[in-house]
Amino acid sequence: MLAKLYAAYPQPADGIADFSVRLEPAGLLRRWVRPSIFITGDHGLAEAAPMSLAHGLLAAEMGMNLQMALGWRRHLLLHASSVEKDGRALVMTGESGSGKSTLAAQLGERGWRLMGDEFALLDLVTGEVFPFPRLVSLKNGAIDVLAGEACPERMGPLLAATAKGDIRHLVPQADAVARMGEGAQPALLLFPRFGHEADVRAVGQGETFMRLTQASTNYVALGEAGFGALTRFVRTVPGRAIDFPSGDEAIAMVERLWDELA
Amino acid sequence: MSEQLPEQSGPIQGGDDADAIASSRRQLLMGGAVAASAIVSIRPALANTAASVLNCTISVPDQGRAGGAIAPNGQVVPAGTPGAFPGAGRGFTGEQVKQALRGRPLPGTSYDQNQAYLNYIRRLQSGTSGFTCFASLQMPR
Amino acid sequence: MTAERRYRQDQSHTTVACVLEDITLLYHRPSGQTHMVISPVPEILSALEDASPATASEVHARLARHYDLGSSVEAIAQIEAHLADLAALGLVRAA
Repeated sequence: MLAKLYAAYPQPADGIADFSVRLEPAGLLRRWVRPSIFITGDHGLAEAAPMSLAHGLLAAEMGMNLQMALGWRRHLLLHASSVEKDGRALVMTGESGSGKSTLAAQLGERGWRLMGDEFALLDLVTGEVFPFPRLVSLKNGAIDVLAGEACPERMGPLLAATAKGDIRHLVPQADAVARMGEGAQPALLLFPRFGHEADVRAVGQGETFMRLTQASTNYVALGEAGFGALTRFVRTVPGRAIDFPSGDEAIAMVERLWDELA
Repeated sequence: MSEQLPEQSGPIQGGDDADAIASSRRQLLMGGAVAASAIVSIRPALANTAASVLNCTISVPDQGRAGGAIAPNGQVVPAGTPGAFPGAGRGFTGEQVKQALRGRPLPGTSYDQNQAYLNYIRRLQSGTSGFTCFASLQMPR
Repeated sequence: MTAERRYRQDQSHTTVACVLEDITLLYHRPSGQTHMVISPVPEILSALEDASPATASEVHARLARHYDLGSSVEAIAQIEAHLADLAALGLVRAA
């Protein structure tokens, strides 16, 4: 199932994936009583809850997220979605439920190149944002929104009632997958908040910096290189907090701010 | 400048700046800012997430060598080796290991057994279960 | 009368600074820590930079050349408090 959804993705150049993700049966007895999958890999999470086999796809996704969060050293890793237009990147960061992933996916269906719904990679030397376009993970309400906009072949099966709610995966458009190695200079940073009356607020550089350190899983581990990369980002990229009641409003706000600031 | 960051050996170069900047800072220390802290230190992001690595555990020895005993120098040796201690029946939390590294012994261990366990932990290599947990304890605070 | 503590910068080139619009960021190499600081902390650090160790009174005197600090008794007490915080973080040292 995983292979089918990732069919369009290139194989790693030397045949060796950057990380290994192992899905192991959780203990001998559980294998017979009820199939379970325990997330492990190079970096383990001791208390991860076992999941039924039907949700193996989701478990693999979570395993991959964890690998990224704990192991990546070549870039500053930001918990953010990103899309690209005209060679410049829009980066959106916020907590789960902020709308950053859904908004990125929608923009990806409206002429923007989707670079990632979960992670953005910030190049430590050039300051470019690089894609990490794994499958988009749509939760609950976002599923219907995107199912209405993307063609069915790019949608994965419905995983009902997981620990994160209902989930369906969406394959990014062919162009986005083909250009996975292509970065872009960040030009706008947004802090989205879905489900509020429409509003736009400037965000001070100090607050932006602090929020980005909170959104980064490897800022501290990168030391001075991380400091340099993040300060460069904060000094060169304008930041806005946007509140919106619907995806359509959000998209309109994004396009306006992009014209104004990017 | 070959460095990626314009390096300054100290903070704001004050005093010689344009009048506009000087006057905006002229009211230094008057009232306000001192009551609240003027220094906020960045904490590692992972420390704030629910699924924190700091909830990790280290098994002594790792599950792959579950039958082994721990020699005083931390090496895993066959069970029954004279002078070696039996493995711990349970994993230790990152917090317990952090305390142990500061002098409070791991729970349920004698002094020598605690030393042996700590030596085992210090020898953990990338790829051995428990290494990530140990490495995360070494991260700058 | 208690002797006043004397402070000095923590060696040269151990702290990298980045001035933003509203705050200053400091990266302290020995500890790997990042600090966000606002006035008067950057100015206090500047007063110690490449200069002889100083007490809070002496730092006050250096700052008073460029800034209006209000009541000197209060200002000196506040500077002392900031210096103590900075020493606890390793950004300055007791000399």
